[in-house]
Amino acid sequence: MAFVECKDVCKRYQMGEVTITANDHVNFTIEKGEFAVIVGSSGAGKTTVLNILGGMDRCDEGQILVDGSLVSAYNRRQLTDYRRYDIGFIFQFYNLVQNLTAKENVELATEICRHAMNPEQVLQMVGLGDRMNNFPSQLSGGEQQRVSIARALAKNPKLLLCDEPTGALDYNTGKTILKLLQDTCRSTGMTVIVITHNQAIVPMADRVITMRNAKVSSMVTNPNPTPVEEIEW
Amino acid sequence: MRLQKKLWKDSFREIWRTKQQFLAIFAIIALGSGFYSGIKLASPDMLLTAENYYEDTQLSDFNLLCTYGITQQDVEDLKQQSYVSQVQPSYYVDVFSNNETTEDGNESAVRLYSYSASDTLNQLSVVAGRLPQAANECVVDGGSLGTNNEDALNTTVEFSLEDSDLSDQITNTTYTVVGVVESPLYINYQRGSTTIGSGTLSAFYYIPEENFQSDYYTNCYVRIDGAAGLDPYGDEYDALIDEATTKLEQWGEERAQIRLPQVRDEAMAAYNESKAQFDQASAEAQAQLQQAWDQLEAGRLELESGRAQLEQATQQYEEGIRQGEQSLNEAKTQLEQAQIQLSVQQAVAQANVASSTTQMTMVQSEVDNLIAEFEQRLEDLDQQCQQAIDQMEQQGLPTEDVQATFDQQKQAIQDLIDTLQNRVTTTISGIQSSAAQQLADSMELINQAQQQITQGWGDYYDGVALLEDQRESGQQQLDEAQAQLEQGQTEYDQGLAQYNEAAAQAQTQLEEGQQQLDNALAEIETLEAPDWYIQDRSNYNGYSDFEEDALRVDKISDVFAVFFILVAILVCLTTMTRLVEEHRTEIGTYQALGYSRRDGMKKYLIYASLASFAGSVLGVLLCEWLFPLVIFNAYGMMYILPEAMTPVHWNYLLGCAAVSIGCTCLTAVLACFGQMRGYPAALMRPKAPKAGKRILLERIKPIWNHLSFSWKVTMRNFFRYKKRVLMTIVGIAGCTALLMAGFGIRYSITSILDLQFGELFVYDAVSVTASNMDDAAAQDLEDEVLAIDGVDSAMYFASRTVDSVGEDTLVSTTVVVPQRTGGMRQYIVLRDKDTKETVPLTSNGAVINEKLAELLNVQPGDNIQIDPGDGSTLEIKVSALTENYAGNYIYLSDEYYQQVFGEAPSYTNLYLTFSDDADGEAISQALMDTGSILGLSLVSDLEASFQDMLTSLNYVVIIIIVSAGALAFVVLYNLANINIAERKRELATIKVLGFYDSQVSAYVYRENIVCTLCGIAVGLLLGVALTQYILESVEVDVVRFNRSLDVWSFVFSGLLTAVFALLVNIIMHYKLKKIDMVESLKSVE
Repeated sequence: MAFVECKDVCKRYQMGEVTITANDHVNFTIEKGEFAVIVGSSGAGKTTVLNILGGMDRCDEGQILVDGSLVSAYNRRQLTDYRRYDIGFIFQFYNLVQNLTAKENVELATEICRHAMNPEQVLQMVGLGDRMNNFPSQLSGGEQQRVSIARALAKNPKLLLCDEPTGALDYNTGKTILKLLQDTCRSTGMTVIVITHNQAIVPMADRVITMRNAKVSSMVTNPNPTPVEEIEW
Repeated sequence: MRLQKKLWKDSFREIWRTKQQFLAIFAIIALGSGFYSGIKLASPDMLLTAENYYEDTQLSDFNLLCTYGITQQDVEDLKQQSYVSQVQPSYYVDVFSNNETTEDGNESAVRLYSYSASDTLNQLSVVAGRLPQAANECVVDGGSLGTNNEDALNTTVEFSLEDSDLSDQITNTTYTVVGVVESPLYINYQRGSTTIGSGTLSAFYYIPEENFQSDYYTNCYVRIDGAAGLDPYGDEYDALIDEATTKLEQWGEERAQIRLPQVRDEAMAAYNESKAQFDQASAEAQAQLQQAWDQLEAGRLELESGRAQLEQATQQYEEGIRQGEQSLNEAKTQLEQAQIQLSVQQAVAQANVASSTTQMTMVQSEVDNLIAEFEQRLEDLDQQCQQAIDQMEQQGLPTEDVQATFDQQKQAIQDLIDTLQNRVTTTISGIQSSAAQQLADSMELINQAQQQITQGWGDYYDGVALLEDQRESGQQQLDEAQAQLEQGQTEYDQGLAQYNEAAAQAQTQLEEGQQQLDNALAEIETLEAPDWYIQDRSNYNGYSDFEEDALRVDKISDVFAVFFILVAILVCLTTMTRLVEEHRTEIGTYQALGYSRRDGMKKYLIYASLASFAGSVLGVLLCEWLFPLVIFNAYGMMYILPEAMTPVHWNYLLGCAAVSIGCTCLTAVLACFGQMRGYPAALMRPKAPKAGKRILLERIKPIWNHLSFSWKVTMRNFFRYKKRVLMTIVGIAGCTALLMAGFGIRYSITSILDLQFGELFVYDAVSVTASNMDDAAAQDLEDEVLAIDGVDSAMYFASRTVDSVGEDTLVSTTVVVPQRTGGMRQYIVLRDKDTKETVPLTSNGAVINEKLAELLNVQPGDNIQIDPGDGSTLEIKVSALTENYAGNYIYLSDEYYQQVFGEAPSYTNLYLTFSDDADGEAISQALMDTGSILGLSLVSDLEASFQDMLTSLNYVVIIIIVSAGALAFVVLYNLANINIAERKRELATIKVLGFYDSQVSAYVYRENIVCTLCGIAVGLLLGVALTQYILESVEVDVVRFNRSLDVWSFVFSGLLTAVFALLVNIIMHYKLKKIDMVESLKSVE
């Protein structure tokens, strides 16, 4: 059985009199320890998948299984627990609390987690050992995203969800972030799901799920992922 | 044109989208401008209501009084003055009434005014019943009655004077009450002072004018030309009145000069008449005296002849007695001589008997000797016989012969003895019987004589008794005559004394009369022109007080109003800033599209204007009506005025709307300029989030390191959003301070009751006794009162009303003198406000209450001046201050009173204390039944009426609490809303991180709670100051509020604020729950 499994997931939004179907019978599976990329153009429904997968929203139909648990059946409270213990989330705009230092931002996550890692170690791991006591405004975009990654990793989650992690970063910085994510996946065996519209990232993934018009148009596994350094866009 | 249309459309959509912010601005503007205008208008509306009342009832501008009364000529002349529009002469007299329906009970001093149907000034408002029509009908002062006016109708009231006959002044003294009225001359519950009774008037009555018999009017009401229609509390009116006062004073002087000769002539005529009367009376008195003297003289002569007769009778009596005694003494001597003779005869007879007895005794003794000799021989024979017998027996010879011989011899002797014996006995008895015979004969003679003598004695004693009787009766007659004579003498003496007294009295009276006549003449000679008193409206009861009260409300309103406006502006500023910040991209876009800055701003100006216009109109309209009404009604307890008028004040409405729009638009412009300083490109880029900063606390490692992570975050946020935190603290502090003020005022005023009547005035009732009782009667009354069941103790106090003279004030003050300084504590406690130590009442200084000292600006040791009511000034030394809350008092000891006033105090107030379970009604009934008590007031009644007055305060407190609550709610809700809106992304992110709903709330609340606590702390401090300020502004002369702080005020205001904050937090919790986590994925706007 796959580590992550989506079965016939549907999600519809009511916008006034119009019903918008964001996800229409989406099906895919991701194995444990894989570096998966969900790719698609704007409005293809990938963010909705991410929301549902990350426990931030619920699907209207279908089933989502994560590590054997039926996440789609969770109530509000269970979803919060799920986010708390099982999911690490990396945002496009980092979403750091401006008023907290890098270390404190990581602590924000570790405070509420059972098997949290040491915030300082995690920050050293992402290469910010000497910037721990800086506020977000004192850090560059890449550094802020590293803090964001550290915050997600520190929780020791089952699943790392990344929403356009390079979207707000320049080329080189984006690359280093992707490398960090890929290395983390390889070294810790954590399942990483990256959502992007950037087709160029596709070669580095173990599994590529392509979405179009609220549906999964293809799911391809890549036995020989290309290292990040060799990818260009 | 199209742009305009689009702008409006956009604005309305924006309002719909951000309805909460719009409502927040709307609400705070409504609250701020409503509170401002409502509370500011309370004072003008109060004055307006009064002004209308004055105009409707044609309140006179002046009341003129003249020391000689006002004549018809005066009135006619006054009417001719160009500046006078209306003149209304009238009468009044101060009397005692026995009306039991008025609150003060019977025998209270009241003022009777004349009423005429044609009166146009000072019109009476009929509350119940109707105005008088018949001469014996009257109407009563509604303010003096209890609640039920109907009870007073159809009752009969009798008026009287203490020391003269009232019917000399008014025709009827008994009236039927046909109506209950209110007069614009009396808009509060004080009825002024008088020279009769206790010095305080308790009510007024109007009786038909025809009852007054005086030739002169007592006073005259005047309306000034041009005064009608002017604002009576305004400057214009004051100026007109000042001018008129000068003219009237001048007029008064002129009239006085005209009046003087008239008065002098009248007085002279009266003098001559009195003089004639006096002379006649004097002659009559002389004649009467002479007549009385003649009578006395006749009596004296009669008395003397009586005395001579008595002396003669006494002599006759004494002679008679003496003769009687003499004849009796002669008889007595004869009797005594006869007795002596008789005794001699008796002695002779007895001597005869005695001599024959002696002879017999001699014979007997000789015979006895012979018999003894014979008996001796018999014994000798016996011895011889025995010897012979013994010898013969020894010889053995027979004895019988011998014996016989002897016996024969013995027998012979024995016979001899017996013969002798017989003879003697016969002889003796013969002698004896002859002697006895002789004795018996002489004794019989003696006895006969004795009997005669005894009879003679009996006659003698009868004579003595008779004489004694005669003596007694004679003496008695003499005594009676003597007594009569003495009585006659006494009567004569008395008559003489009476005559002398009468003569002296007549002399004194005549002298006095002469003196009076002389004085009168002297007075006439030195007669001065009459004084005219020109009293303007400030002399009317309550007229000036009402203005002062209204101004006091105005003073408080400033504090509240400023406060609310400040908060309103702050709230608008934050809200508008937030609104503009939210739209920075849009503003940038507009500018990028080529719109000017002004165009970009328009939308926000429309938004702000609409919110503030709607808010201010609604707030002003509502509060303009509500606040004056509530405040007026609260004050209405102390005034007798018609319903409050609360017209719409368009100037306030428009002014508030303009200011509100101005303020909100200004804030909008400021906020926009803040944003638009940059170029459009900068605006279109997301705004750099507010940078985090290290705070000072972090440098204090020991504290910082001990804080939990959440607290660290809280502390950082606290300093990060300084503006908002500050505003929250201001809002909360304001709310708490308002509540503190509300509760504080309520406590300060209501606690007066317990302090004044529970701790200071510990007596239960005061009864007023007649002032003409002597000491013994007073003592009897005290004993009688003490005997009433339920009365514990009683003590006399003297009390009188005086004016204390301050620098620019006159304070009506009660002077109280205890009869015994020592016992005072049981009735009135004099003590220091702070230390609660008893203050002694000494003979060299007065104890005055603290408020009076404040009003007069004196310290212990200083002197105060008082006016005892006749215009003079007396000095009193203040020895100590005492705690007191209601009224102003000067306490004096008996000695010091005499020293100050130069007369003994009149102890006519009997203060009483009751036992705990006493029945006040029964006791007051029993007290009235004693007949010597003129009036009675129970402290419980006083307390109850006070309590009623204070109840109105609760409305004011409720207004304050509701306003405070509204303020707290709007401020907190708005700020919390903005807080959440600003931190939506952050909150969404921590939700994504897996914070539970409660943790998310706690994350925000911790700041709120800290802010709230800080706000409460600041607010409590502010509240203390605010309460003090308000109390000082509101305090009137007769009341001293309890300025100490009540712990519960702190507790309640703190708790209530916390509750308001909690409510807002509960609402916020639901808002937080609704935050969509998807927000976290959006780009920064």
